[in-house]
Amino acid sequence: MIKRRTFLKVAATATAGALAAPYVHAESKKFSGITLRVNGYGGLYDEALKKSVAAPLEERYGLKVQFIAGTTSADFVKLIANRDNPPYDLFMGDSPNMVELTKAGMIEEIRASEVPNVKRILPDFREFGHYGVPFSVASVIPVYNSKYIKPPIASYSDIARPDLVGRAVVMAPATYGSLLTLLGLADENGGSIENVEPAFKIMSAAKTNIVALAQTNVAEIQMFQNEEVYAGIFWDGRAHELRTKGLPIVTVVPPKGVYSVTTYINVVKGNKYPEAAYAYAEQLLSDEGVLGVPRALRYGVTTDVTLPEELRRDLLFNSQGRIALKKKVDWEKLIANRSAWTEELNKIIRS
Amino acid sequence: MEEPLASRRVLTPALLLAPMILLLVLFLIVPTFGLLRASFLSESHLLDGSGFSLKQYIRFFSDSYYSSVLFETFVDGIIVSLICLGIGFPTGYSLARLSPPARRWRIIIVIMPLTLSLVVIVFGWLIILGRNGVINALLLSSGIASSPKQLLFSRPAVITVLVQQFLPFMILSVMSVVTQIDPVLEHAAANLRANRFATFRKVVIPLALPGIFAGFNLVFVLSISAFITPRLIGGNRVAMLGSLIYERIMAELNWPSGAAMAFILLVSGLGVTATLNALAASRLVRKGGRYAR
Amino acid sequence: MLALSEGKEDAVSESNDFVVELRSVSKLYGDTAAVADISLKARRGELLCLLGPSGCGKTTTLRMVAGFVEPSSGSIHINNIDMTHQAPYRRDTGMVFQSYALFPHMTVAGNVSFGLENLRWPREKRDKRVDEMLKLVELAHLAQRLPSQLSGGQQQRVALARALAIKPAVLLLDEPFSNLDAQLRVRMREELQEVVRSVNVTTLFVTHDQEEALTMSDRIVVMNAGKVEQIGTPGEIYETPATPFVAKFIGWCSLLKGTVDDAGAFTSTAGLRIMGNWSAGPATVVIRPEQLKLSAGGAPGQGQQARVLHSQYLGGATRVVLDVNGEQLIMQERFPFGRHPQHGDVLGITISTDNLRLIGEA
Ligand SMILES: Nc1ncnc2c1ncn2[C@@H]1O[C@H](COP(=O)(O)OP(=O)(O)OP(=O)(O)O)[C@@H](O)[C@H]1O
Ligand SMILES: [Mg+2]
Repeated sequence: MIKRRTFLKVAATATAGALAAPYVHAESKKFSGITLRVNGYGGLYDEALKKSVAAPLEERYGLKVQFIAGTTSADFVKLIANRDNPPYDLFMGDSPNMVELTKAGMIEEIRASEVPNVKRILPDFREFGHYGVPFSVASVIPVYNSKYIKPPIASYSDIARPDLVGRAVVMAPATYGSLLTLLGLADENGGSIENVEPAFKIMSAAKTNIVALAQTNVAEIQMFQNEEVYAGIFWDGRAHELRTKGLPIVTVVPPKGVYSVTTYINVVKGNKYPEAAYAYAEQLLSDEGVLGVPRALRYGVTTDVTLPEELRRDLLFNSQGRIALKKKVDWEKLIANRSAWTEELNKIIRS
Repeated sequence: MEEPLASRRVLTPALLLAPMILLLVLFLIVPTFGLLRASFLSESHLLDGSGFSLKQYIRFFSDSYYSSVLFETFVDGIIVSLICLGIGFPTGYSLARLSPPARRWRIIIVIMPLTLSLVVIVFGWLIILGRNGVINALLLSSGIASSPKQLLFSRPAVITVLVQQFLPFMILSVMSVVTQIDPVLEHAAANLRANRFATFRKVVIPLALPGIFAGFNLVFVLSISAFITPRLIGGNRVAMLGSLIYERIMAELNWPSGAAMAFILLVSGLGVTATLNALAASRLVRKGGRYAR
Repeated sequence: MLALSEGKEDAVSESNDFVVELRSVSKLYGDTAAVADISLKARRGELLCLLGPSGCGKTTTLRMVAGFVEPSSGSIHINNIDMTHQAPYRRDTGMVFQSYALFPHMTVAGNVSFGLENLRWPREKRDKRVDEMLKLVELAHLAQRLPSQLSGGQQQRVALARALAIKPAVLLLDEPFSNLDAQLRVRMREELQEVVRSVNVTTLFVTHDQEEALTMSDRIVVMNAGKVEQIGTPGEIYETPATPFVAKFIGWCSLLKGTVDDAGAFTSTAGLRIMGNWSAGPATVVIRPEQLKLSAGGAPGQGQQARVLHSQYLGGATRVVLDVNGEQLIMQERFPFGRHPQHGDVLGITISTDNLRLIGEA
C-alpha cells in the first residue's frame, strides 16, 4: 500500500516535472488579479505560510494571498456578522473553532475531487468529516528545565509533584491549552471528558506548585526564560522555541496519550474565488506547503509527507508510534464544558 | 432684538455640546444598551439571541466565589487609590506650587507613562520584578535576601503596577485643584500659628478635597476595571473581576455571562464611588461645622 | 465702635521699649535689591507706616517681618528676640493681607478662631475671644457666614479680627484698604485706627497713599527704591522733609534747585531769589502751596510777578501753577467767586519764608 503510494508520488512528481515548464507558461495567468484574504495568526506563523504557500502560488498562478493578522475568536465573530459579504475567503481555525464554524454553516466541505492532496492526510487527523483541511498539529505536553529538575517529569500528573513547589506554570483557564491539560490529567487518573473530577484533584494538589497561569504563550516563554518557573504544561512547538534560545527544556511525551489541537484551513461559503481557494488548500497540503509551519515553528504535520532529518529529530509526532499516542477529542463536548471547567479551575487556583 | 438673542444663547451651548453627545450616544450609550440587553439572554454564546432571562445574574449571585472576587476587586481598587493618593498628593501639590514654566516639563514626565503601551509597561515590570530582575538583584547584592524572591504573580505586584499606571491621574487631579488654591492662604495659616502639618490638614487638604475625590474616583474606577495587569502581572492567580469578564467574553465567547458581570461591576462600582463620595461630602460638611464652632 | 481695653502692658510711648527692630536688613532677588539696608524700630503700641511708591520694597519688608521672605542679610528682632531665621508660625505677628486671605471653607467665626485653635486655647476661652473680636469689628451677627457671603469691607474686618484674636506682638497690614472704594476706605481707616488704639498693639502698616499715612500713623517710614529716606512723625515728615524725594512724595510742593550765597539768600537756577539766612552752598528749597500768598488782593505790580500756566478748581479752593521768574510754583488759594485765574493772567504773590524748608546738599 505504502509502496504503491510512494510509487504514485514519484511518478506524479516526475510527470509534473516533465510538464512543469510549458504548463506554467500556459497557466501563468490563471489566478492573476485575484487576492485571497486569510485571517492570520500573526508573526512567524504567517511568515511561514507566506513563504511555503503564498509565494509559490503567486509565482505559479499570479495568485496573491493577504494575511490579516488577528485573534481567531474575534475574527470568527467578524465572519459571522458579515455572512453576506464575508471579510475572508479562507478561514484558519483550530479544532475548537471548527465546532462553531461548522455549526454556523459558514464553510464549504472539501473533498479530494477539489483538493486532491486531501488524500494524503493521515487517518484520524480530519476530525470534522469533510469539513476543513488540517495542515498542522500542536500538542499540549509537560516540559521542564533539566538544569533544575533532576528526576525527569514523566506525565501530565507530575505537575503536582512536591519538588515543584512554587516552580510550575500552566496555561490560563479557558484557553484550549488549559482544557486539554484537564483532559490529559483526567485521562491519567481514571477520568475522562465525562468526568474531569480527577483532573481538578490534581490541580488542587498542584496549587502550591503553580506560581502563574500563563495568559499568552509569550508570557509563558518569558517565565521559562527568566527562570521564574522550571516546569509546566506547554505547546510542543514552543518548547522547541525555548530550546533554540539555549534553555535545557525537555519535552515529555506522556505515555498514556497526548492531547493536541489541529489547525485547519477552510474555504468560506460564498467567497468569490473558490478555485483559487482550493488551489491554496492544495498547495498547503503539498510537501512544500505542509512543511512550512514545522520548518519555522516545529509544530507537527498532518500528511504522509516524508520528514527531513532535522524535523524528524525535533517534532513530537515523528513516528508511527508517536502518532498513535494522539488522543481523539470530542470537541463539541469540550466546548460545551468549557464554561463550567473554567469556573471550577478559577475557583481552585484563585483562592 | 431681545428674543433672538436669548434663544441664540440657549442654542450655542447645545451646538457646542452636540459632537460630544453624538459620540457618547454612538459609542457609549448604544453599545452599553446592547450589552445590557445581552446580559438578559439565557444561553446563546452570541450577541443576537432572543428571550429574557435572569440566568446570568442568578449564576453570579448564587455562587459566593463571584461575590468574593467582586469584593476583592473593590478592596484592591481602594488600596490602589489610597496608595496613589499618598504618593500623588505631595507630587501634585508641589507641581501646583511651581511656576508654570518649571511645571511644564515636569508634567510631561508625569504624563509620559500614559503614552506607553500597557503591554510595554507590563513587560517592563515583568523584568523588574522577575527572579533575575532589578529588585532581586538589589536584594541579593545588599544581602537583604540570600536567594531570589518570588515577587511576580502576587497581589502586591498587581497593586504596585496598577499604582504605577494610574498615579498620573491622581497627580493631575490634585495639581489642577491645588493651582486654584491661593498660596497666600498658606501664609495666612502660618501667620496664624499653624505649622506645616496643621496648614496642610486644616487648609490645603480641605480645599483640595474636590481634586482628591476626582483623583480617587478615577483611580478606583480604572483599577476595578483593569484586566491586563491582573492577568499578566498576577499570572492569573490574582482574581479581579475585569479579568474574569475578559476571559468570559474573549476566550469563552460567552457574551451574555460576560455582559451580566460587566453590568454588576458597573453598577456596584458606581454604588461604591457614590457611597464614598457621600461619606466624604458629609464629613466635609461636618468639618465646616467644626470651624463654625 | 466698642472700645476694648487690652490686658497688655500700658503704652510706653517714649521709652526704648522696641517691639520690632530691623537691623540693616537687605533682600536681594538675583542682582536687584528689593530692600537695601533698612534699619527701623517700632515702639510698643506705636502705629508705624511704611510709605513709598510702588515697587519700593514695602511688601517685601513686611513679609520679612512675618517670616515669609528670608532676608539676604541683616537681622529682625521681635520683642528683643532674634527671629531672622524662625518659621512664620513661631513669630509673634498677626497679618492682614492685601487680599484678606480668608479661609473660604470656614465661617467668619471659624476664621477668627483658627489661630486660637493652633495656640491650643481651650474651647470656652476660644469662643469667648471670638465673640469679643467679632463685637470689636461689629460683625457678631455674621459669625456663621462664609467669607464669600461678605462684602469687601466686612471681609477686611474679619481679617483684622482674625489677626488680632491671637494677641500678636506686632500687627502687620499690607495695604488693607486698597480693594475698597474711596468712601469706605476713609471709614475703615478710622475704624482701624480706633481698634488698633483700643487694643494698643504695635502696628506696621504698608501703604502708598500719603494721606493714609499722614492721618493714621504715629511715625512714618518713607521708602524709595528699597531704602529708607526718612523716619519721623507725620509733622516732621511734612514740615521738614529730609530729602527732595520725601518733600515731593508727601503733599503738593514745588522744589527749586539753586545755591545759597554768602549773604544767606537763595537763588534758583532760573534766577528766582528768596531772602533768608541760610548757610552757603548748593541747596533745594521746598515751597508748599500754602506758603504762596496773593499780595494785596493779587493785583499785578505788587510782590513777585507770577504768570498763570494753568489752574484747577478743587471746590472752594483753586490750585494754580504759576511761572515765577522762570520757576514753576504751585499755589492753593480761595479766589472770590467769578474771579478764577485764567491761563495767561498775571498775579502778584509773596513767598512766605516762615517755615520755608531748605535742603542743603552737603
Ligand atoms: N519674588 C520676587 N522675585 C523677584 N523680585 C521681586 C520678588 N518680590 C518682589 N520683587 C521685586 O522687589 C521690589 C519690591 O517689591 P515689593 O512687593 O516689596 O514692592 P511694594 O513696595 O510692596 O510695591 P507695591 O506698592 O506695588 O505693592 C519690586 O521691584 C519687585 O519687582
Ligand atoms: Mg506691596
